[in-house]
Amino acid sequence: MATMKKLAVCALLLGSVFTIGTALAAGNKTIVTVVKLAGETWFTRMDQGVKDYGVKTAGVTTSEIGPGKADAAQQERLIEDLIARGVDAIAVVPFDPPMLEGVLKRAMDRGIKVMTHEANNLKNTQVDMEAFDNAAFGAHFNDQLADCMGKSGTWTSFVGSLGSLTHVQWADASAANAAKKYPDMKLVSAKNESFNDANTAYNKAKELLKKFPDLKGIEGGSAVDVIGIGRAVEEAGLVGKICVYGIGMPNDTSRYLKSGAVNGISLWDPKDAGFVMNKIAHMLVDGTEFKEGMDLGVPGYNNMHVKQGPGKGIIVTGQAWIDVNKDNLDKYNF
Amino acid sequence: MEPGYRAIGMNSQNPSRSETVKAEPEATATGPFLELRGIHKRFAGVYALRGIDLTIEAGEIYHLMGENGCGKSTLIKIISGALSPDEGSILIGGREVVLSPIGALSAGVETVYQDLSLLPNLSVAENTALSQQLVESEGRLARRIDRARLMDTAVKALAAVGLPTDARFCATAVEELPIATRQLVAIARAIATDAKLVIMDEPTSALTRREVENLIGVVDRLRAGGVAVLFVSHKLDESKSIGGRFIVMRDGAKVMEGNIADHSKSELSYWMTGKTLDVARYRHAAHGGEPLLEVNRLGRTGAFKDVSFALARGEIIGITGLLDSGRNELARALVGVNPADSGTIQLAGRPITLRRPIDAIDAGIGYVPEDRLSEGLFLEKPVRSNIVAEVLGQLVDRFGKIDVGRSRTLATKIAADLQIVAANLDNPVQSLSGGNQQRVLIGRGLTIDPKLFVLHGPTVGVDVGSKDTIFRIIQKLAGDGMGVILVSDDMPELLQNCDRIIVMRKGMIAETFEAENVDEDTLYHSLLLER
Amino acid sequence: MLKGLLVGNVVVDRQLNFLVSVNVLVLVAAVAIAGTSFVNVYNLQSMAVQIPELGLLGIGVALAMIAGNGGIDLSGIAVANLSGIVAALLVPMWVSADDSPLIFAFVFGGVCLCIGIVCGLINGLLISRAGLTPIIATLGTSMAYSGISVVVSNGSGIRLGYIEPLDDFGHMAVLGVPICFALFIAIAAAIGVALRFTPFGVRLYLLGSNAKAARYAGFSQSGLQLVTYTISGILASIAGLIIAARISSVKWDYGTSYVLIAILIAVMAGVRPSGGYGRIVCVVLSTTALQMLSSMFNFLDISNFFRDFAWGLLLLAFLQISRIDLRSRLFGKS
Repeated sequence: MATMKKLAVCALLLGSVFTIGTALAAGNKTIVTVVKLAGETWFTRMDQGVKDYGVKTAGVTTSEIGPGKADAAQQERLIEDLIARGVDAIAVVPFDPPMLEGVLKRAMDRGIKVMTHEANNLKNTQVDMEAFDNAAFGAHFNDQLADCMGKSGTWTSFVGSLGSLTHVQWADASAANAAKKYPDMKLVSAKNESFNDANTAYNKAKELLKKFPDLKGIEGGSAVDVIGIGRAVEEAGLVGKICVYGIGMPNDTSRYLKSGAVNGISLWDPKDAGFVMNKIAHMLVDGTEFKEGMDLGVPGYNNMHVKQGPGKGIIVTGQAWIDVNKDNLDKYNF
Repeated sequence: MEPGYRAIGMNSQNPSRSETVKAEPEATATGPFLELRGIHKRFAGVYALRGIDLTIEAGEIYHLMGENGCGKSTLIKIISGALSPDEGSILIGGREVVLSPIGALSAGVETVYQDLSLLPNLSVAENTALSQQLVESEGRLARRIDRARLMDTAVKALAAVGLPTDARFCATAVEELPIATRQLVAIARAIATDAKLVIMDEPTSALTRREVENLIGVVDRLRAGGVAVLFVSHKLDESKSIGGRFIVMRDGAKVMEGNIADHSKSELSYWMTGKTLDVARYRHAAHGGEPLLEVNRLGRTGAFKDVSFALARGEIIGITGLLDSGRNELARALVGVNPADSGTIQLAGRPITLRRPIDAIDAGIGYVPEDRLSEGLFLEKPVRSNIVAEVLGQLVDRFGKIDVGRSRTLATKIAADLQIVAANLDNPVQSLSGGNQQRVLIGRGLTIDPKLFVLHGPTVGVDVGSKDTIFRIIQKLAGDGMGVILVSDDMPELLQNCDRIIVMRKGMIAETFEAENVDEDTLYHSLLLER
Repeated sequence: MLKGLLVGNVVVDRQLNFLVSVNVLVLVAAVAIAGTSFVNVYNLQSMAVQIPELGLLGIGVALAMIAGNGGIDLSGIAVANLSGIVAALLVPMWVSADDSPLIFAFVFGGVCLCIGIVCGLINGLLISRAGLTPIIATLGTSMAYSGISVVVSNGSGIRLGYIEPLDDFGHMAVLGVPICFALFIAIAAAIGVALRFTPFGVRLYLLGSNAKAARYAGFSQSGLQLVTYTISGILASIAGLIIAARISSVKWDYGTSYVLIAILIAVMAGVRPSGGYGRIVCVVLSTTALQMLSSMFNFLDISNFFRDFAWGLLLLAFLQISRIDLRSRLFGKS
């Protein structure tokens, strides 16, 4: 049938177009980075670091891949296929860490090296890399927010999902920080879920602004939350009257940073993170030892703190956060 | 006009004749309006039309007759431009044309199809003037609706068919009208343009006698105005009473034409089917036997009440009445579809309650529904499945699986008994003709070994040949000891087949007649009588 | 005259042929582009264990569609997750996983099935007795079941830990065929046979073909619907059991992307959404085709978006192949 032939040609063409990276030089190690959600700006930036590492390092082929929807099931299936493919190392940013325990164990049983990022409660990983101490980061958000709010008033927080470990850790640390240092700040409706979707965050923020008319501060959780929150703040005409801080991407949030709807974002450069993730994966493949204080050659990751993780693996932590606001926005073009 | 020739079977003309027939050098006013020459039409290699020659003169009435499957619909579609012939030529006013639907409309060919093709949410006026608007706007209706002319045209046409022309009626949405009125609106649309030929496909199926007479008056006026009218109809009696010329088709070819007055119904039936049919009374056997069904003061709120009658084994009783007489609801109550809420039914001496269809089936009541397409058949499913649908539970083997062999045997036997013509019982039942489809449903009723058989409009949309077969089957059912109830509005059918005929009016039984002793006129009179 | 042609059978064979061809084609293309590792035992088994959860949900949707009345079941994955969560919470209270893992596994399965029966019955009753449209009824129950799952599990995943019989059920292969895949095939075969050869099956098809005629023929529409949706619920709970066995975790929002994928599987199997037609063997082939395509793309590092695009193309090709306008060409109503 003519249609069948066309389909075959399409499949072959598509395959060849994207197989550039798969042309393995004999002996090249494959490291595949699995992210939470393909197409999200954060992970598109991370891909630059992933590619960078592959280009700058000999004997290693790197690539990034991710599911089209934020669903633990899709990520799990991706990794199953990577195991079957027989890659040398997997670097994962888990959407829901506990749901990947099984498949990552299977990967390691098959001799594949496994490292993770933003998953310090995961047992079945050899190394989990954190850009910074999550509790400190959460507290840092809160301090910025409190400063803006004049240390008093009602505030709330967002997360990507209740399973997104790091977001929850930041939100919890933030709350703890406020409880300890700012008794006049009242937290309402903590950890609203946005599912990494700006529209969901926008709608939720609108609801919250209506429900708590005296709301003075909002903290975002996933990188797109502040976009939705900023839009809601602008529409409600509350620019300058309500403090918004969160994690975000400079280019995506620039409009709201400039208008003042979002006061500031803190983040770590996913490009650096991607680079470091692949470096660590490579170190695992080569069997290099991880030492306290080691320098991974990337700013913010020059002095890694090593500690035991919940399983047999270790957690390595850097100090790589950056604060971006409308004054230094032009320095960060991603 | 060529002398009527008798050619039964293939047309003698050479089928490979070229299409470029020279048109008449001049279109004379006295020449025929429409001519078809050597029309052939094939569908996937099988002939639907073979070498059809046809002449339509202005101001004449024609009756196109033939069994289902003979090619009537295909011929109509070619004349109205919906299909184009594979070979042959069409001449209008002496000039050869290639027709499209809009082209046919512009040439003055109007068709009133069986399904009326009205736009239900548009008003009467809009529907009536639709054809005219289409023609004048050359198909670009959305851009050029001329509202003033629309009302003008509509009012004139509605008046011509005897419908009201007041503003309220004209603004009513067509879907709110009863079917008889809709049929007249469809006819009004056909005559609203300056039609030269009006084709009507089964135009009287929903009309009462009075309305039929009104229609005949309309047709007469058209004729007088020089318009040709072509009827497609199964109702031989009606065609004969309207008069004019007839054309009989069989198996895609024209087999006979002439003046309808010159020939009897049995001759016409013979040409249509190739068989001699006994068109007189079918019911000959003496009836009577043990009492089978006793219906006592049966009623259903809002539909009918106080219905009592009895039926003996081997007896055939007809139930008729106008649409609002409750006869359809009574039929459905007797089979559990719309249950009665008062009164009793006794079957073979035992009282039964029929609350759902399965109750009736379990009690041994077979039913052929009124509308076989929407209420009876599973159209895309095989003929076999349609036949055995009600007895699936009886065809299982000891594992609970359906025994395909037994299922096939049963279906084949039933098909043979009822003379169901189907190339393969695994074909979808929608591939069968109307008459065969009805017999499938009769077959389904027979699978449950019924004591009582209720047939609701069994020969609606069924051609003469199949009608005959079905009537013979009905007689055989009675002969086998079943009680048969025929619910119908087809008077000849009831007169030919029943022992007694019950006439209902406004939800109650009005009169009961012995079929042998009554004629059509008396029945009609009883139907319409105001109490 | 023209009426004796086998239109029905022509359509059926075309769809089956298309699906078989696609399966073969994808397999061949995958081997050609991604390498022979695609067809090594590990990958075949890996793909095989990913299939059952999708396939069972697809069969559930197919059954609902066949029954007609705008039939569909949107609550599949919600029932699956709820089954797993309830079982994960209840069974440890009765049986110790360490002491008697086999009994634990069986009781776990039993609880899942019970939940599936109850949830399916509720769907069936809402549709057959309360007369709700299936899409609305199952949308509502989907949210209700998810809601119960969230509340009962506090929004977080429940780890089952390593329970050997369950893990074996999820991963182990007997004679090269993974147990859960064999179970899926057995279930599909049983349902396929039941649909084709039992009175229930034939009545279901007829009901979907013409509900009014079915009523006149004495069928119990409500009875048939009740059974259909209950079976769908049971299939979903088995999918939940398989998920729990594979991942050793259960979570309320696992597999949210499965709802649409299940519908895609059913439609691409030729199941008619208006009712009365559908073959289970085609549902199985549809699932395997989609799975292999997905895995092939993962092998090639092709983004999941292109996978969704490819699935869409496949669906369109399928619809093109099955498009039958033969009736008017062959029969030309006379």
